[in-house]
Amino acid sequence: MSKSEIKIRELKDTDVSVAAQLMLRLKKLNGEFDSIFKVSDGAKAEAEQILSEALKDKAKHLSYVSERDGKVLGLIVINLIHRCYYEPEIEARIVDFYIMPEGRRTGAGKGLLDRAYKELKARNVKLITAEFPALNPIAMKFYKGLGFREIVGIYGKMLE
Amino acid sequence: MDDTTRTEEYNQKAIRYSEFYKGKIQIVSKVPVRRLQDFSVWYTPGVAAVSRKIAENSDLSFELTGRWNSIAILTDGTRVLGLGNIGPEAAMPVMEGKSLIFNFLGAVNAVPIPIRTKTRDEFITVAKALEPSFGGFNLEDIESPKCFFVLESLQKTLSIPAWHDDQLGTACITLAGLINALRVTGRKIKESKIVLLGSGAANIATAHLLFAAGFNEGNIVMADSKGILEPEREDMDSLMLNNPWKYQLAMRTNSERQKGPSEIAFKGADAVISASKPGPDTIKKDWIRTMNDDSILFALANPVPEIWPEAAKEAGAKIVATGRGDFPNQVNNSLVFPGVFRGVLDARAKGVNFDIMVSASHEIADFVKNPSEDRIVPTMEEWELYPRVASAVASKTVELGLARKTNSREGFFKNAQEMIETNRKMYIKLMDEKIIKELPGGDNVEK
Repeated sequence: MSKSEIKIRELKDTDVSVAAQLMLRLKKLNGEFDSIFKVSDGAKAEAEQILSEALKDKAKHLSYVSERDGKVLGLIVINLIHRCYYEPEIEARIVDFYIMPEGRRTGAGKGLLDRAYKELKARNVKLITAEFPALNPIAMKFYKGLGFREIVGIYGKMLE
Repeated sequence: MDDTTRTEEYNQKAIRYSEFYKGKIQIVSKVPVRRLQDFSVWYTPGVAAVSRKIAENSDLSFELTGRWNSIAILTDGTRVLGLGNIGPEAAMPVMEGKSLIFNFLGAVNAVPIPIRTKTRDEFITVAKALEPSFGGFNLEDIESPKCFFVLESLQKTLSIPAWHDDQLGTACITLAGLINALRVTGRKIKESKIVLLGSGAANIATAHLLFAAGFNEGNIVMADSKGILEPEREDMDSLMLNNPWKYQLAMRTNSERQKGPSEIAFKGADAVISASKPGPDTIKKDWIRTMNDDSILFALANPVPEIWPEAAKEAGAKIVATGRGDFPNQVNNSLVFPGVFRGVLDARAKGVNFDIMVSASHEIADFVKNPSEDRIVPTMEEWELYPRVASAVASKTVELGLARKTNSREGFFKNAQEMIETNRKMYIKLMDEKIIKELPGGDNVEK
């Protein structure tokens, strides 16, 4: 097994298909925690579309991948959202963050976050949030460890 | 007689004998009782002096009571034989049978204790509560992955050995057989490519035991019903949450990162250890043909191996082992657990681990003089095996600093041999005197 260095770089058009697969794995993992996040048939195409759009509008979306030996091991997608009523006015929201099993505990995840922080600082963004299923204890522990706290609750139920 | 008829005959007898004997084991005194006054020593008031000593030093419970030679056979009845979750009451006949083998082959007092627990934490709590009474625990017939949580937790927290025979016993005899199979086919442990087909309790333990025995992690490929285990497989996140043991092995094994259906792993493999779905068509001849020359196949599913030995040999396998006694090379836990427990109990062990198991496997392998393709493991009738395994295990326990009591290897051997022989004499005597009643319906004359 190769132990080459992990590189962090911006997402490119040529990554879209592979990166969409990572997003899909993340959505499936969400489904493991909560059946309300059952992945739909069209999810793959939607993931590719979302990534392509993110690449077209870099003012509103940040996206980075981590790779080792040319292989994509991790992905982060952050949306920059305008907040009504409150300040700071811009919120950076992590909407997709997934590391392949082999990239875990290697610094691949931290590298992606550091890179994103650097860019957010350059853009003078002061607030970062992360969106994930309430029943995902791994994400909860991860973000709490990074100093995040719960700030919004979204409750839901299926209608009969 | 064909398999079905023979099995049916065993079934009928088992029910008839159970009705007749009403259980397979009982408690018999090991001290003389000449008159009732003797109880003033065995029981109150004299016994209080013994209790006071143990109260001062609880380790004396291993010297002044039968704790040193007593183990509990613990089960929740969630995965009994091939019967599934049949509950603790229904598990009892199996646990009694296990207790009988423990006693007959290893002179171990094994108390069957099926328990009514729901969660793994409940099971662990009950086991911990029972620790003061026993010198070891044998876990039996617990569903996967609960069995991994329970074993790992008990091994970490108890100061007596915890063993799960479906995992560790099977792994131990598998390694012993594999060592000899590699000898017979002129292979080296470090270089051999091993496929573990089926990733349940037995093969997950086998993987860890192979690591401990010096096999190259990357040369081991595991597969299950969904195909080859590798880090990019779709269900990895689900495994990470529900079966972290399997998840970890997906990272550690298979350095070539093979992926796809199981048969792909057969290509270029030296040995396949299958603990998978009963056959005879689980493994195809075509798959075996893609293995290296003089290949080794362990088809361990019961009652029907994943492929019949004859078919496997036709396809090029040089050595075939199964779980059955009616073919050569029976990979049988009963060659392991009586000796292992005799050994850890004689050393008053604080635990048991993969290094100790590797010693047991090597001893079993070395016990076979001039191994051949039809003889890679001993058979159950070879009585000297059990004290040999016991002394190897006890000595390793001492070496690793896990023993409460030390002895030389020879000393451990003699002690174990004497115990097992004396115990056998007791069986013979009790049967000769018909205190153990003859089998009902004139079955005793049958050989």
